[in-house]
Amino acid sequence: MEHSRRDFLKFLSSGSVLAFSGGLFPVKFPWEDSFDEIVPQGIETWVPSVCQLCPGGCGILARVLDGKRLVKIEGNPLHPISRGTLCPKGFAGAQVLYSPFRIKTPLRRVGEKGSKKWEKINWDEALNLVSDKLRTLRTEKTTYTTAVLMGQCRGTTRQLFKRFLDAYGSPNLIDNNSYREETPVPGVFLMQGSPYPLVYDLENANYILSFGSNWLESFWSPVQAFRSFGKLNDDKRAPRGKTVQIEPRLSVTAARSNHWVPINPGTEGFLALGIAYMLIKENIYNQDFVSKHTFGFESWKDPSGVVHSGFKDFVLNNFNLSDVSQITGVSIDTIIRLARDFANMQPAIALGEDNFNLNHQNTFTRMAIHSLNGLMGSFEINGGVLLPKVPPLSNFPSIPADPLSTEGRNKPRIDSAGNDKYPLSKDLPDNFPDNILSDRPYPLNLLFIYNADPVFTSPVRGKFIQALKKIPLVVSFSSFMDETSEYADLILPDHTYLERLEDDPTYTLQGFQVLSLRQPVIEPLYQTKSTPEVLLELSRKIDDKMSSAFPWKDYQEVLTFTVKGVFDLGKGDLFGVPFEEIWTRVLEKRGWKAPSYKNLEEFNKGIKEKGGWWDPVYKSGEWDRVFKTPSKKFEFYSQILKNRLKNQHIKEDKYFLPNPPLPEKEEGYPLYLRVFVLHSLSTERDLPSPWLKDTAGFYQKEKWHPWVEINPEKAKELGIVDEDLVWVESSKGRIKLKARLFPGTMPEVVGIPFGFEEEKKDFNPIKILTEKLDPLSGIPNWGETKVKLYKA
Amino acid sequence: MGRIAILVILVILILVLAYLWLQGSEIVQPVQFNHLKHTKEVGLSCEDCHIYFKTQRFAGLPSMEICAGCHSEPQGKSKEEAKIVEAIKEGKTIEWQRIYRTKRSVTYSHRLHIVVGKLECKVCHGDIADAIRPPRRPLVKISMDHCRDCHRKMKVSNDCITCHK
Repeated sequence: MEHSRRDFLKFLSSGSVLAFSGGLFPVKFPWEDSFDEIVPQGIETWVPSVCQLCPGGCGILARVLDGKRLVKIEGNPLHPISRGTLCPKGFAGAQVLYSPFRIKTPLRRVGEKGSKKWEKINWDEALNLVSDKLRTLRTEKTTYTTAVLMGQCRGTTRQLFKRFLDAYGSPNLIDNNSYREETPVPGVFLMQGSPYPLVYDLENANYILSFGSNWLESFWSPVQAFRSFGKLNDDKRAPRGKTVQIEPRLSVTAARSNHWVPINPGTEGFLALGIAYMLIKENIYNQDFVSKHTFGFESWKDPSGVVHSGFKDFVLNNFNLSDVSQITGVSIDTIIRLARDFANMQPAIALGEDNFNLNHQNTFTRMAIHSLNGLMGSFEINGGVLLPKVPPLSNFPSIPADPLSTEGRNKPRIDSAGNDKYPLSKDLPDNFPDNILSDRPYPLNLLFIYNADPVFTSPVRGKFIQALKKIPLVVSFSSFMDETSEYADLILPDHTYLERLEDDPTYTLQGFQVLSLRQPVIEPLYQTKSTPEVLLELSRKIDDKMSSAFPWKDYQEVLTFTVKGVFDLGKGDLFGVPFEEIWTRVLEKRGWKAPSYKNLEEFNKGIKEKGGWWDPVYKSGEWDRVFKTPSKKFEFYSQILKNRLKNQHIKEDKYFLPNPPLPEKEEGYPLYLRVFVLHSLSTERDLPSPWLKDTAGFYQKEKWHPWVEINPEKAKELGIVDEDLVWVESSKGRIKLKARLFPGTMPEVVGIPFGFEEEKKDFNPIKILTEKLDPLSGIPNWGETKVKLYKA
Repeated sequence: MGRIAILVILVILILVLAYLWLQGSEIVQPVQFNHLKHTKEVGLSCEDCHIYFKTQRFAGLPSMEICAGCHSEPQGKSKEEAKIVEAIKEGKTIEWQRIYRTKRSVTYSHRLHIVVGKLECKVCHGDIADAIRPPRRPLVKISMDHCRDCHRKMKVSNDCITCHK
């Protein structure tokens, strides 16, 4: 059959008429959803609350229809941390609330531990099971064999847990927080003596020298980090400052920074001291600050006549640029440029905090990095390093005297934190399973797990599983069936953060205290119960002495009591627009105040309506508070470490100075493993959100499943092509992943993202991370894992 | 012959399509409501019937309770009113039809435009207050250009995410 040109035109014109008319007809095809079904209608309310998907503490506004359906989460414009914006995690909160993986009622294990067989029970029965056990332990006078393993939790809830254990008689509140950037790092503690975390005023700094801190991807407060980056680059023609990322991998932060300095893994401390060498050699460090506020810079003679080597001589003698360049792989030119920029672009910050301590830097490496802040005097200034205060919640009245609980409280801790083996440790969650398995110092009978998922996040996960199997009663408060809860005996599901009432005290990067209120945006969807309420109920069920320690009717009453402490402070104001912030600051600095509330009632009401309270003033120059060292100064030479290691009789000064060790080689495992945290998954626990999983690997275009990044040249050498399945093997074990060739990875490094759900698949990098703990702090030395790679 | 036939068929087709288009895009309300009477003669404000436009994203079509506030008994002799009175008496609901719809991808808020932006209703709804019978299609055609022009004029953000979120 032949077709003429005319036929073709006819066909075209009739086709286009039809197509055109199709667009004009408001015809509703049967397979189309109706508009009203897609866009839910209803009377909307906006409820202020606080996000809890990371430690950032962003204020949110939840759009709720007809008081029962959450449809959208946005940033609270009045909240000083989020200022109306949110990160992708914050927006995904609705998927957490409506997740199909939520636990809907209390569950009791029916099969073997870990067999995932559960039966539903009601709350009365569940609480009786726990209170019976608690009562028995009290009659047997073994209250100390109870422990709480706690993840992200602060404010009144944390105080309540502490009080519960104190009144009951146990010293075992174990923080699983070594995976949070926000926790104080031992290196900083040795130099400043403060057990509290620092903040870095990124928003006002002109130069941010980041040693492997992935601060634009998985910072403890991502929204503040993003805003700081925005402000630094406000004017495209003349950005205010510079950011430099020193890291063996082209992370999101490295890609966004002005300079990316690839460095041999584990040698960041050497580079920091190389920069210090230049600062001292060229005399461009802050001499005024160093002479007034530091200790151990110059060599000195102690009262017994012994001469000690100071930081200056130590650096000048040991870290000349050619050596540093050879060790780190960074050219001498670059080191000189970094040092000069760091000195010239004040205020400058040396950022060493890395994400979740995944690539935990050795304590001395961290000291070396922090010494740069000491050299430039970047403390207590705008755009510098600050030590924030936390909003002062009222302290609970003292616990009624009870010899049983006092005795229990004074027993040694089950995780051996603070012992001679790990002299800088406050909590040792990764040592905890070892102790349980060997019954040291005593066997544990009851474990509560709150907001923590060590089987998912701890390199000693295998031991954790065994420990959980050994403990007679494990109670999890998880809202989701996470990997740790699978080994529990009883699950008392908590509300999600969108259904819970709670306070959330934190601070901004400028060191301002912030107290936000997390309030339920909708009624609880399932038969879940707020954990603080559960604690109150348990205390009433145990015995009279316990119940007298908790005289409050419900958690709301406890909250009203603790929040009054902030009202009594008599400073700051409720959240407000920027003008109110300036006004409060101007008045407060001059000793005046005009808060927008007159009495406690108005204060409580205002907190509910606006989302919280804050004090937009940071009082700088309180040196005694900032430097809590024996010398009351910033210590290049750590006297704290010297005191803690007194028993070991160490004479050499270099042990107390920032003296990073050289990375060790491991026979048969030539590659360094770098586990990095993606923004969308940076939390202690896996988030059940498809949106987040769908945005995981931005550069690699990978989502839902993890991958391993290999340098293309290295891959060629190993005979691996893109998207091959490969085994990544360390001395501990091996996992199978998809290989992605990524030129942003140095040849001797491979990178794997952290935080993907497991579900019987062998791809959680935790499985191959080294179980070695830092000898001083007991934090896992994950950065020291070496691996080899081969085709699967 | 063939050529003429094709031409005729095409013309008929276009006419039919045009007719269908005009018919199909028209929305006929169940009651021929007289806006003018309510606003000018009775002196009601828009908010008296569309009760949500100052507080919500949507303006709200009047519920039967609102109508029943006046029309539980006949106020006049209009046939259209009689339909309402009867519906109230029988407990039926009058299904008012929405004329204005935004695309699914657009988030539009009456509250933001009226309370924060201080716009008048007629910017988008034309002289609806003076209409003696319900319009069958929007009095002002709302397109993205229309929105963007106004946003530009009022110095409001024209970023995509302002509306498409």
